[in-house]
Formats: sequence, C-alpha cells, structure tokens
Amino acid sequence: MLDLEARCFLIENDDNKRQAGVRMLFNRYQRPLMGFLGDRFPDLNDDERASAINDVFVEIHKKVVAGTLITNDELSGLIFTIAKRRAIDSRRKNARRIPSGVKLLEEVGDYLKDTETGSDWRLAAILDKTQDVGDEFRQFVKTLKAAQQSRVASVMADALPDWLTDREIADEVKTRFGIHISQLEVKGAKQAFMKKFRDAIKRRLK
Amino acid sequence: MNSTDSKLDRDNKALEALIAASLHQDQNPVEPPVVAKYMKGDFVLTPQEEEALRKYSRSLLLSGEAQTTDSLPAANTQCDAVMALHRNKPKGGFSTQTEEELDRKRRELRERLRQNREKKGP
Repeated sequence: MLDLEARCFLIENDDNKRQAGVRMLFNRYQRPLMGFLGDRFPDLNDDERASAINDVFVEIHKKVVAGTLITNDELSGLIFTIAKRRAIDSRRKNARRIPSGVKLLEEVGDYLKDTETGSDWRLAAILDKTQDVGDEFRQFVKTLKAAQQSRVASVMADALPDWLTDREIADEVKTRFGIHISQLEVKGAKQAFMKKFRDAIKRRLK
Repeated sequence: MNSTDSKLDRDNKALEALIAASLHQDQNPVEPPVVAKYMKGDFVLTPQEEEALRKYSRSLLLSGEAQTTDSLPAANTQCDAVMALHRNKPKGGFSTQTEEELDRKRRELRERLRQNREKKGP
C-alpha cells in the first residue's frame, strides 16, 4: 500500500505524471534513506549521501521511461538497494585497489584466531553486543571532523589488513578523493580507529 | 595473515579486520527488516543532514525535465494532496469518518492501478 499512489503515476504514459510519481517516492523516502546511509556509510559526508539519494530517483525515473521498473510490488526494497549501491559507488569512485571476487567478511575470522581481540569479540557475540560495538564505531566515524580520517575509513571499508599498506591507503585516498595524506596520517587515523573499537568492545564486556 | 607477525601485530590486525567488517557494505539487496526500521522512522537526522536533503532536493532533475534549481515542478502540488495518506496515524487512531475516507481512497487507487495495468496489457 505504501507506494500505491506513486505506482499509479509511474505506469502512466504521460511523462509529467511519471515524474510526479517519482517525486512522490522521493518525498517519501529521502529522509529514511538519509538515516540508512548515515548509519551504513558514516565515512561519506552529508552532501555525498544526499547526492546518492538524488541518483536513486534519477535511476528510478530512467527505469520507468525504459519500462523496466516492476511496479507490481512495493518499491521500498529496490529503492534502499539502489541507494546502498550508489553510496558504494561514491565511496569507491576512481578506486584502483578493490580486489574483485574477494569476500571480505568471509576472511575476517582468520584474523581473529588466537588473538585477545578475537576472544573478546566472541564473548561480545555471546552477550549479543557486537551490533552495538559496530554501531558505536560507525557513529564515531560519522562525527570525525577531519576529512582525511573519514577517507581512510572509506578505503579501509574494502580492505583487510594485509591487502593494503599504509602507503597504498594514502595513494588510494589521493586517487579516489584528491586528498593528499601522508603515511603517518594514515597510521594515526588507523590507531585512533583501533583505540575506539577496542574501547567499545571492552566497555561492553565489563 | 602473516605467520611471523608478533602477538601485538596480530591483535592489531584483528582489530583492523573488525573495523573493515563494520564499515564494509556488499552489493546484496537490503533486507526487508532493515527497510522497515527506517520506514518506521527509527532514526534521527542531524540538522546538517536535513540541510543537505533540502539543498539536493531542490536540484533533483529527472531526465526530460527543464527545471530551475529553485523550483519543483507543478506536479508536486498534486503529490502533496495524496501524500496525506502517508501521515502518521495518531495514537488513538483516526476517526471513523477519516478511516472510511482512507479506505475509499485506497480502493480507488487500487482500481486505477488495475485499470492502468490492463490498458497496458501483459
């Protein structure tokens, strides 16, 4: 029911009406999408996330015009998924070092084996606190004032520790975002992230 | 992971790996419960985020539109009337009269959708 009115417009032949339908969707979804992207992509700034949201509705309109939008069902899942993918594009723009075909999440476990952090993480999982730790950390990244640090986070989002050296992270930040950052600054940002993450875990185990 | 790493190195790498995992996003579709959370309004936007939305909503340009950056097309006025259907339900629910009116509007829209689909064919 939620998108029914908009979908009525989207299947009209008159493009003015279709555009009105897309704008109805835009008005309805823009704030939830901003909330979603803010939680999932804290490294992107407000303008980048708002721009990604605009791109969603430009894409929806293109699908309508091309006749490829399936209007039988609610559009919310599609809209959120396009938003996520546009935000990933924004994070990875001009990226040169994203390994293709590698499943980052599947390899994280290897790094946790036989480490204190791994033990703490397992305990946090038993206490059902890992989600809270992740949320707190992303909130921390979202409030970073220095753009350089946010951009280091953007690169780290697609790289496990042995995949990129600090120098390669600095190069990647320069390539993707045009921001010059030294290896020392990369190291400093990573240390700040690690301290925050470690503290967030430890606090939940007390 | 490098097998010659010291204990401290390995621990730092474990933290880095968790950081990467917490920031990483894959291309998979967003799950319905996640969508539902945000559609229920379970989030808070900062004033800066609200401002960015205002700024960018003025510049949303759909293909084929000749639009100035400061004005939305007239079609939007039409949207606003229908958007009343999306208003949050008050705690005690709507009045019977309003509920009836909403039901009538929903039926009308469903019928319109059905007719439009039939017109278009399979």
